[in-house]
Amino acid sequence: MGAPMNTPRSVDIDVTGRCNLRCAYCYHFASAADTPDDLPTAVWLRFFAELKRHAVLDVTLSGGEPFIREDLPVLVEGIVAANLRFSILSNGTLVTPELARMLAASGRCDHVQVSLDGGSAAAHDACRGAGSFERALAGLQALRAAGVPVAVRLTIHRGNVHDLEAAARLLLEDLELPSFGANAAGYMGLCRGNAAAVMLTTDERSAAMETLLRLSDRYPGRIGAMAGPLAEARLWAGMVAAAEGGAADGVSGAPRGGRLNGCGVGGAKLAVRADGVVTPCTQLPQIELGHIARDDLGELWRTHPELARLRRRHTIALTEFAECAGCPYIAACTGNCPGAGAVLTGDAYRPSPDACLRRFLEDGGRLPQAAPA
Amino acid sequence: MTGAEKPPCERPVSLAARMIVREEGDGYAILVDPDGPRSWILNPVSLLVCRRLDGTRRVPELADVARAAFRDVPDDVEDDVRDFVGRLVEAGLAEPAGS
Repeated sequence: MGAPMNTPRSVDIDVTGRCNLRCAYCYHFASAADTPDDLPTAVWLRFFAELKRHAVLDVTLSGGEPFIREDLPVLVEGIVAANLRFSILSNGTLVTPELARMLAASGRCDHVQVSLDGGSAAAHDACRGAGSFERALAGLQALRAAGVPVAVRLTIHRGNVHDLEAAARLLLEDLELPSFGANAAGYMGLCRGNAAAVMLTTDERSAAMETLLRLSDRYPGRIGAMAGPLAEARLWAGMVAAAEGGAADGVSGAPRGGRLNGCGVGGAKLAVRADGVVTPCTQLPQIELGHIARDDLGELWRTHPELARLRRRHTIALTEFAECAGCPYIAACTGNCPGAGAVLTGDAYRPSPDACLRRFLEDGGRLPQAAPA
Repeated sequence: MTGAEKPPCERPVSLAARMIVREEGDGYAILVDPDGPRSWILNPVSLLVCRRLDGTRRVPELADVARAAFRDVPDDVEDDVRDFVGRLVEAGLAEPAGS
């Protein structure tokens, strides 16, 4: 399969490998994306100009913590000059009113995603460090005061799994945010060394599913999830229904099931590490496609054999894997995230064990009774 | 009538510098305004016209470019180009020279 389009539409960029926090579950540090030196401003500005030549539409700045770069206003100027729109993924703690106004004045900022992990300092700071809750809230409020759209991501872990009600109340009622997204700490980066303290047990995962579904009923359409307990509750309930012969309509992934079809890697997006290495995705930092100072991005996009292979990943049948043999859910399973699968198995072309419904149930996991498809 | 008094499309026109003309592949192209929520799907003729909106060509010359590039171009292609360029100018996505 060739490139689905001439150039990527979007690029995810780690503009820095530095961060003022060391969250216990951070996927960046202790991964292949954890590189020692940031690129100078001029290299990024040249890269943004290249993105303009390739008619790329938008970039997402992450890291590390993007607001740690003192030249962030210069980078934003370069992004605007390159006719790009942008988003930023941040811990929020370094956002000042002045920086927030700078982002608003650019006219091109789609949103800043701030990580808020709970309804209290205790829940948030458990993995992010003392004082980070208050500073993240201050950053979030500065962004809202300046008129910058804000998205909130809540990462569920053992230290906040019992705080989800309070978190939803804070975010949706007290702060009156339109919505927030919830995922969970995954076995990547620093989390691998802290897994026992951070990652949900099977019981906690089950309880989180139940709580999040209840909260979704209470706040309709206001809690989103691409991964983590809420996404799993919705997906897995549909997979069980499909396996039991029920209607699979509306089951996320079911129409694409039975193959490694968990994501569209290589379809519209590329990623760049803080050292300038181009990768297929921020979750696959170990797959090095080239370097922004050396290679033409469009050429990499159209001709790199590893990207071509990733684009064919969806043709790999789950029946090829011994661990999937006899699984009653195989027809609706997509194998989930290649990045998670790669960390757990060493192979991006295998299903992710962490996303395995059969394994979850064998470990004593419980799916909520009223999980919607 | 001086140049400044001519209707916008009778003067050479430039696509606004911020506009993105993106060829997606398979002949599919879009025109995107990064300052606005809108984007437009471009057919092959409108894609070619957008590519030539560089401030040196008026509508008749743009129509000539289309006639030279494509077979079976309708006789009234100049009217179509004038309408298309006029709408771009009206929406602030293109600018007549001297404006």
